[in-house]
Amino acid sequence: MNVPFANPKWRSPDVVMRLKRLGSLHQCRLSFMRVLTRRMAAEEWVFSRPAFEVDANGVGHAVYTAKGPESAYSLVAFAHDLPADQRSDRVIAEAWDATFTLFDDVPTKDDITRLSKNVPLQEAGRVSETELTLSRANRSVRLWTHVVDALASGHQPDISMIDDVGYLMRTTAVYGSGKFGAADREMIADRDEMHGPFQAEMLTVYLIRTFVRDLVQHMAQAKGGDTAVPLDPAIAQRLGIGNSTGLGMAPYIVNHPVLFNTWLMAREEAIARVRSVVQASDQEVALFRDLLKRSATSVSIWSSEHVVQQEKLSQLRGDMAALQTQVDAFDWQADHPWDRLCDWSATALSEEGQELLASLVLEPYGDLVDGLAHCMSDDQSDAFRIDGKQHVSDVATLIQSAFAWTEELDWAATENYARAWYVSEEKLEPRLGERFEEPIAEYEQPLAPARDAAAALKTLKAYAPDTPIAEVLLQHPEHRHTIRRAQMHQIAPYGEIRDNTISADVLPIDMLRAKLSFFGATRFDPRSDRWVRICMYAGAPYPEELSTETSDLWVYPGATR
Amino acid sequence: MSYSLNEVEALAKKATRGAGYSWGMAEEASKAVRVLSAHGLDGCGALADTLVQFDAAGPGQCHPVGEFGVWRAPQGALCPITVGTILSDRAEQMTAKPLRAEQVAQPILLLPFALQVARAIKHTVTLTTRQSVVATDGKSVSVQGSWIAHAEYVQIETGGTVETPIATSSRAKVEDHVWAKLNAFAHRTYAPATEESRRKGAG
Repeated sequence: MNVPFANPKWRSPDVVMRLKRLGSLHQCRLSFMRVLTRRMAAEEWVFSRPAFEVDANGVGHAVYTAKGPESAYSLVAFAHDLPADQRSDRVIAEAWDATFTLFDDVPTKDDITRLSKNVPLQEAGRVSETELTLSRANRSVRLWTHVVDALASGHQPDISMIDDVGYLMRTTAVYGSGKFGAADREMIADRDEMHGPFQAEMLTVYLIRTFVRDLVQHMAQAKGGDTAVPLDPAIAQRLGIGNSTGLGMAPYIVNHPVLFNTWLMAREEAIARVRSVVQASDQEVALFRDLLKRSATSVSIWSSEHVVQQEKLSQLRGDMAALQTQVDAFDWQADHPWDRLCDWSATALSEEGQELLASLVLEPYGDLVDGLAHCMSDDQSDAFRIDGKQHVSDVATLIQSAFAWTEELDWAATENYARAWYVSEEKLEPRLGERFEEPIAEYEQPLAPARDAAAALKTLKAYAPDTPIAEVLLQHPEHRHTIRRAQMHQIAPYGEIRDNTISADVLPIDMLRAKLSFFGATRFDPRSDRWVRICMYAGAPYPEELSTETSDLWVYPGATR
Repeated sequence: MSYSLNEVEALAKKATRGAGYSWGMAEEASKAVRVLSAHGLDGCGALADTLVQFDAAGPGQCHPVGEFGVWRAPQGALCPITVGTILSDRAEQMTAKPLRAEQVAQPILLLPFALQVARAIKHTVTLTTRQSVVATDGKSVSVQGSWIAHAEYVQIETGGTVETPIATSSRAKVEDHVWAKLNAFAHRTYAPATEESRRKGAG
């Protein structure tokens, strides 16, 4: 096979893999947070808080344990008294309001002692194979102060402030997969509950949210004493955990084409399954219409200070109105209602609206969709090996199938390669620089597959079509990563972004959003073209409220209120 | 110190790139080091010594010359990463007729490529040097004798059996001086920080 496998029912990668569309994706039933909460509820996980040793200044540690059918996982949280001038969301920060690790099983006293010397240091410390993640969070100072003050003085915080900010703390990194000494993914990937992508990270954030709620009440209690009141559970539920994500995440989806493909492929298959539903039942339509209204509420409280996102939001608000009108007048009796609705959206709505709708039509069909969550991991380790006997002509066809769109690009025009991805010496963080203004070109990371594909194609032209690619690689090792990607493309039709990742006008936030939407993030708020704030788990049930009734549709406001 | 296999792979990739290999070759080297580490073998040490040895010559100077039957470098030793990738790229050409690579640096680094080949052709592959016999069926590895820094020759052929598989490991134990050596190579891939890059590039 030398053309990529693709199901004709799926949307073409030429449509799906454009950055503007990837940067407009929304959470859906397959989002990793929802997969986790559904599983924990279905398997009746048991949650406990074996330790909460935090003093009146908010310094100390706590342990939260989540026990599933086979394994237990414990969030070990360290709370710190952080001077205001040290609070920074940048990856170069060295101190945080709280630091965390997810421990595999239940930690002993010795574990806690060891972790207390390392976790607060984050990148400068070391964790071990019994730790699955490493994370830290900073307060939203404005909301934190307001909530502590309100509760301490005996009343509930202001709802509009809660909704305006959305979270009491935001994480600035959640590291997993062997980072800083933690356990490799391979050590846990054969456990059912950890086989799906980022489940350890999602569990970490879920438990962090519980800790943060408990901590804010603890601080209010310490401040107000007898006057203090606990946080109204309905208000607590509105709160999520914020997250600041910078450029570090953008290369991930380029560096993991086979994995990223599984996410897109699963979602496309889910959409195709629902579009092929012939008749929708009244209940299915009713659920869809209910969630559409609740989505409109989500959209209405979603704000951004970034001009690009403001423009997209304004279009999305228009889309929501148009969609409501369309749905109100829709003929639900005729065949293939979801297919017709999605067809309509392709010309009537912006990408934001189209993708929101594509996610929303999946909601009534858990039985058709949810099983696809098992197909979102990269289990194809053999895809790494290059098949050297493949002919030059076949490799060229593969490259062209992903990068035909680059044929019109002039790679000699500076605006088409104005940027370069590199890693800075200073903090080893990925950066995106101006190739013609900074001395960075010689340090460039291989994050421009389109440009590299064009270069490889040019080289291949000099060879007879039936030359084995091994021969080319012997003479041109510089194309090796590109040839590997081309061959991976055979099994990963959605593995390549079909846009130029080094153009003068590339928006890295689109790459961030693509990944974060699969986590299940909401309220994307780009703070520049290269970092974004989001919200996770807003509306989700806390452990004591988690049940099969509450575990799924919490992402839509009003779920249980 | 104990490192995760991901840490090992990430550093090995940067280090190999820093030593002047292409990104694609760096990917090969880093996967190889990961596989060795996962079998409790000192992949990091072998890579560090390889990069030091070929640093001055540059990776372009260690291509094997000769027929598919016998490989030797134009001068000096063969680079095991280069030989390994050629082997892997031509997996289907492997037969029971031995292939001979002469004067190979850090021959242990050939093992992960042989493992890949064995997987691809579903046949055991055996590597023989004067001091050792190593067999892999694509999953397990058996080692008789000892590894050496430089092999006068390595004979590579299909056939043989994995007698007693060596234990796998979920962590890599790497000596500090080896890690430091790899870090020094990796460092070459980092752009020096400038005030402008801090202002413009950061996310």
